[in-house]
Order: sequence, then C-alpha cells, then structure tokens
Amino acid sequence: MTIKNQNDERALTQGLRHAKWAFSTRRVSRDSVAGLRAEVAAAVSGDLVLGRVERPGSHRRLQLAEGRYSELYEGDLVVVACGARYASDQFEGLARLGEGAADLLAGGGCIGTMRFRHARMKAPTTLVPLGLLTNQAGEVVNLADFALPPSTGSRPPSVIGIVGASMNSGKTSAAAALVHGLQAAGFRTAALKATGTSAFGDWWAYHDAGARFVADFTDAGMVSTYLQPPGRLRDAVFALVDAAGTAGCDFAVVEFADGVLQTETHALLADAAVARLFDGFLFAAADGLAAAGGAGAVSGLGHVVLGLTGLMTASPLITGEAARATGLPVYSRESLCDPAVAASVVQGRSRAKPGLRVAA
Amino acid sequence: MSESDQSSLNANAPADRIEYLPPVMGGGLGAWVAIPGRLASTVPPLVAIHGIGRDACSQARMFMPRAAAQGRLVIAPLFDEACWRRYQQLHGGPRRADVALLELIGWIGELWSVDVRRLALFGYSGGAQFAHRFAMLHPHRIANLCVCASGWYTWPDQTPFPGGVGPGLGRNAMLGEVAGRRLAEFLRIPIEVAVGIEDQERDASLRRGAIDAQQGWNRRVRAARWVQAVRAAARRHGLDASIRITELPGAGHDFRQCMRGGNLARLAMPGARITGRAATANVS
Repeated sequence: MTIKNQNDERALTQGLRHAKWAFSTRRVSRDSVAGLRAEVAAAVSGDLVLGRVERPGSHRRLQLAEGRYSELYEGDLVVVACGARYASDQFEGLARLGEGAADLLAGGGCIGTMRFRHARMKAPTTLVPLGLLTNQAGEVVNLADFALPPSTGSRPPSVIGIVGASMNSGKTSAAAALVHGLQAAGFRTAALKATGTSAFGDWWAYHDAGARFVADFTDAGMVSTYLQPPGRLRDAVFALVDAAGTAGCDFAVVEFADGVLQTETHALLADAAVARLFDGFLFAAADGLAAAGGAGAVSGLGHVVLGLTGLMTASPLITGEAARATGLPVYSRESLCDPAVAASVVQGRSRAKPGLRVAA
Repeated sequence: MSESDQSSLNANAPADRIEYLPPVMGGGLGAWVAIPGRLASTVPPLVAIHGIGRDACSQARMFMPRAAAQGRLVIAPLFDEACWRRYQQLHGGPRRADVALLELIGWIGELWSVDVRRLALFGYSGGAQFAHRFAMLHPHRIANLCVCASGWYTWPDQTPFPGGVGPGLGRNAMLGEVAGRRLAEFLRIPIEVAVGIEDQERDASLRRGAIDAQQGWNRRVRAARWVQAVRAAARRHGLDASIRITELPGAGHDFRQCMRGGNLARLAMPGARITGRAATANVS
C-alpha cells in the first residue's frame, strides 16, 4: 500500500499500532516508519515486513520485541524481518518473499521462503506479506539502519568463543554457565551471539546468567547470519565485541550457532582477523567422537581449544572418552558455573596459548 | 594531597562506624563491616576471616583504625558455627564457603560503591586456613594476602586437596585441579605470613598426626616451613616469590595479642593514602 492520502496513513498507523512486532525488530524506532511499499518481492535480508497471519503452522507463537511470547491467530498483523534461516532441526529457507504468501522461518520474527524442513517439523506458519515498511524518505526500513556503530577498537581484555558440533550440542548452556561463573568470580562479562537467527531464548539465557552486557547479530543489523557475506559477518563480530568493551567488560563470551561445519560459522572461524580476536574456544558436543573431531577441526583452524563441554558431560563415560581422546579438560555446565573453575578456564588467556593434542 | 589537605579532609569526615550485615536467607553469609568516614572506592577492601572462635566483630573493630586511615572498607564475614562448621576447608556448609564469600563481597561492593575486584585478604588461625585456600582458588581477586597463625597449610605440591593442590577426592576433586592449575598465579601474590613468637603450644584445635612430620610440631614451625615450601614452588615455576614471615613478639595463639603494636594490621594492609569520599550505602 503506497500512502496516498490521510485515510491510507490512518489505516497504516492503526495497523502498525495493533501489529505484533517481533523480537527481531527490537532495535527499530517505530516512529521512523512512515509508509508501506507493496513490492514485497524486492525485499532483501533485514527489510521490515508488515504481514498478516494466514495459517498458523509450526511456529504458533511469535517472540515479541517486548520479550514475551504471543500466540498467533489467523488474521493477526505482525512486523517481522525478511531473512534466510539455517536450522538443521527445523527449517532452511531464503530471504525471499512471494507476492501472496511467505513463511515464518523462525519464532523470533524471520520471514522468507522455506526450502527444506526437518522430517519432524510441521509446515511453517504462513504469512501474507502486505508490504515493506518505509521511512519518511520512502526508503525501506532495514534492521541495519538501527545497528550498533561499527567497530571502535575498544575491545575487552579477553574474548572467549563457544563453538560446537551441531545445533543442540549444549553451546548456549555452556556459554551461559561460563558467563555465570566469570561474573561470580568478579569479572564483568559480556555474552554475545555471533551467528544464527534472531530469537530471544539465548538472549534471555545470557541475561539470566548475569551477563553485564548482552548482544547478538541482530544488534549488528541482521535478522539472520545465514548467507550473509563473510565481510559483513566479520564486521558484526567486531562491532559486538567492541560494544562489550565499551560497556566496560573484562571478558566477552561469544557463542557461534550451529556446528563448525556450517558455512558462516566456519567462514568466521577461518577468518584470520577473527582468529586474532579470540583468546580461546570451548567446544560443545553431544558425544566423544564429535568432541574429538570438532575440537581437532577448530584447532586446525589455528585456534586454542581450552576444553570440551556440552551434552556429553551428562555421561561420565562419554566425558572420559572425550578427555582421553583429546587430552583436554571437560567442563560440565555445573562446573562452568563455579567461579573457581570458570576463572581457571580463562586464566592467562591473553598470554599463553597451549596447543591442542588430539590422539591419533 | 598535602598533609594539611589530609588533616582538613579528616576533620570534615563523617565518623568511622561498624555495621552488621545479616545473612541473606538460603545460604548467605553475614558480616561485620567497618566503614571509614572517608571511603576510597578504589582501595581494595580488607576481608578479614575469623578463626574458630568466630569473633568477626573484633576483627572488624581492631582493623578499623588503620583501614579508616587508608579509606579502606573492612569486611569481616561471620561463618557461624551452626551453618559453617568446617569453613576452613571450604566445604561443610550449606554451600561452598568461598563461593558464599564471593557473593557477599559482590553485594557489599554494590552497597557501598567500592571496587571489590581486588581484595586485601587476611585470616587468623582457622581463618588463615580459609584465606590461603581461597587465594589458591581465586588468585586473581587477591591484591595481597596475610595469614596469621594457621593451624596447618595447603602445601604447594601434588598432594590431594586440601593437603596439597593435587586433584582431591569426592567434592575436593575439582578444587584440587583448579588450585593446581592456578598455582603459578597464587605464587605471584604478595604474601605475609605471621605467627606469635610464643605460639608453640599443641592445643586441642591443632591438627595432629601425619601432618606433624611434613609441616611441623606447632604453628610457628608450620608457618616457617610453609614459607619455605612456597618459595621452593615459586623457584620451580621460575618465579621470585613475594612471601615473608614475621614472628610477632609477645604473642601466643591469641588474636588480640597478635594485634598489639599494630604490626599485624600493617602486614594485612600495606600503605595506601586516603583519597576518599563520604561513605554512604546504596540502600533504598
């Protein structure tokens, strides 16, 4: 709908006021929206979309910018961001909108076109994209317009990464536990998420752990990092880490989504500038073989692996296997919460960088 | 700051005072806190750990004059006997004693807007046991450590924790691993070991048995041997240990006797000039 008269403007204002604004739009100033552009097929990643729920599917609730879930009903108006998604146990989809219908790819508010879905997933919630939100200048509003400032060079003294073998390997639990332990040990600690799709689960988990500063790639202007250019991802990581430094943090704990083989996560880990930024990594896995192989892969990219963590720590036997295979310490969620342990994991990280031994 | 500035600042300062902070329900620690009239928010607070007599209030009161002159907060936690019977070895309470103390210190830092990331840590007798073990687990928090009349010590060797810094058994397994991993950091801490020159009695509270052969017959000998062991461990790590022993004249195993003359307070709180502000707690 192009705004042609006062009635159009009033209709849009009413629509936006009643719409459910997704968590992915949390940084957007709603006052900046002045119009709606009908050419939804021109949408690119990060563009704000006003949509109408046509048929609730797998995501029956939307994560709101206010930080709570909202049940979705047929006919609900939503403001979401156009984006791609990569989630091995849910959907893979592209930042592409059809004229008549599009898919809610993630509950945090990512709309696009689904290509693949996990066998256990129902069809996605269908949205009708009504238009792209525009500003006073008639330009489409994009999350990037509200991103944190670019890198300022004010780094925290130490940056620790959390990577894993796959989705659901225990990375977020480990990151939150490490943040909790470091905070208890007296360190001002930031929790950051470098890659993934906008959602408030991890964001709240970091807050609950006591992080002094929390941010993710959406704060750097992206609804999803999937299929984003490596340079943009690198800049986002630096912007997030620098924001943590500006917030006065001693440590930044940075979680990377999915596994180390995922394209964007792998590209970041292989980036020489990113490698210099990190003082070490914890590797999360659900089993010993994934731990040994994954930690070896991370080490092979030139990173220091400080230890192993993740779902495998529920099993003492698997923990033992992984420790023997890698020679690395293994940290359960509970042990990372311990201030003495957490501080010992990161001690001297800006100096000594012992290498990883992986058994043949 | 000139001396005249200093005296005019002191003349206008509110009075020094001591407050009791009750424990938070569910495993919190209470504490006596000595608040100087002029609080220097960047001077590391003195955390003074009582012995098994649990007279935290006396520690706060007796350290207060020198602490106040430095604008330094004194935190004297109370590990009450009902909840924290074996606080010296960190376990034996509703939670680990070192973790409870960290939490208490964090709250006090917020309450009085004091930087508590670095601490001057003191312990007497059983409190000295706690203090050096705390420092071994959390060396990054310690600006300086002063242990007085410890009954026995955690040795800087691979003996299972708490005997040494090797992996312990049961719930001590992880503590030993951490203390071992952080030993080099601990060895960099400036440490003052003090003991009454007459503290040679083998009283009922002194641990005996196999430890006699390693650590010595009484607290005076044990202090001297631990200092030697720490120096040797530092040499093995290529470090120059900053550890000294001071024998306090006229003192037996008695905190008040040890405090006479002010030497122990000077060891616990090395010089720091006051540049403080009027102390107010952030209590709504």
